[in-house]
Amino acid sequence: MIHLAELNENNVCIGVKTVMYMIDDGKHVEIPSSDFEYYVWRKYENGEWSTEKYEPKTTASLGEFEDMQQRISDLEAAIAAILGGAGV
Amino acid sequence: MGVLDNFAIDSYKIDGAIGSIESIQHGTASIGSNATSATININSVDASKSIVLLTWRSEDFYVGDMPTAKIISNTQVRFDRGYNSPNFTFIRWTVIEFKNVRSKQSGEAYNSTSGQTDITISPVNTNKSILVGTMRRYSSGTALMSAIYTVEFYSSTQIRFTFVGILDTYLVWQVVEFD
Repeated sequence: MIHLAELNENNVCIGVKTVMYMIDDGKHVEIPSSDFEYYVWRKYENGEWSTEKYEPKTTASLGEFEDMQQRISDLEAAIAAILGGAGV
Repeated sequence: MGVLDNFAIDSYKIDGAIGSIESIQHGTASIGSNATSATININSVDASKSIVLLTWRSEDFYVGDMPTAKIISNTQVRFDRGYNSPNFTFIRWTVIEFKNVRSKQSGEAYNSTSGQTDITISPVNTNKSILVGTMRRYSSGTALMSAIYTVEFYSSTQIRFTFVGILDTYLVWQVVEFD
C-alpha cells in the first residue's frame, strides 16, 4: 500500500488516500503517511511541501447556504399565499 | 488534541461460522461542546483489515454536528465534525476487523465547489468490496438537506459522494476488498 496526496489545479493538497498503486494522473504525489491534517492546503512545488497552508476562502459564509434556502422557501410561501389569495 | 473519550467497549471475538470476521467492537464516544474532534482507544485490531461504522445524534441539530470517522492506528479511532458547535455530538461506533482481506484503501478529501466528489482509488472488484463513507461540513445551518449524502462505487476505480449545496465539505472513506 502507498499513501498519496491529491492536488488541485494549483498543486494544493485537497485530500490524502492509502491505495494499492500509484495513480498516474498528474494529480497525485506519494507521501510518507496519510496524515490529512498535516498535508491539506499545503502546496507541492519543486518536489517539496510548503510550510504555508493555502486554505481556500470559504465559498459560502457559515450558514449562508441554509439561510438562502430558507429565504427562498419563505418567498415561495409568500408568493403561493398571494397567488392563492388572488384566486379567491 | 488528545484522547477525549474512552467509554466502555463491547468486544467480541468471532470464530467458526462467520469466517470472514476476525473481531467486532462496539462503543460510544462524544465530541464535546465547542470541540471538533475526539479520539478514542479501542482494543487492538489490524487497521489494514478493519473498518469503522457509526451512527450519531446531537443535542440540537446543526449540519456541522455531523461527524466523520476514521481508524488512525491499530488502537485508535478518530471522529471529527465540521463545526465547533455548542452541542455535543453523541456517537455509537462499531469496528469490524475482517479476515480474507485482499486490500483496504482509505482516505479523506475536501470539496467546496460542487455537490459531488469523485475519488480515484486503485482498482477493486466492487462485487467483493465494502464501501463506507462519512461526511462532515463546516456549517451552523440547520437545513437537514445539507446533512444528506450518498456514497457509491462509480466504477472499479472511482467512488462518488453526492450531496446538496456548496459548503466546506470533508469526505472520509474506507474500501475493503475481499478475496
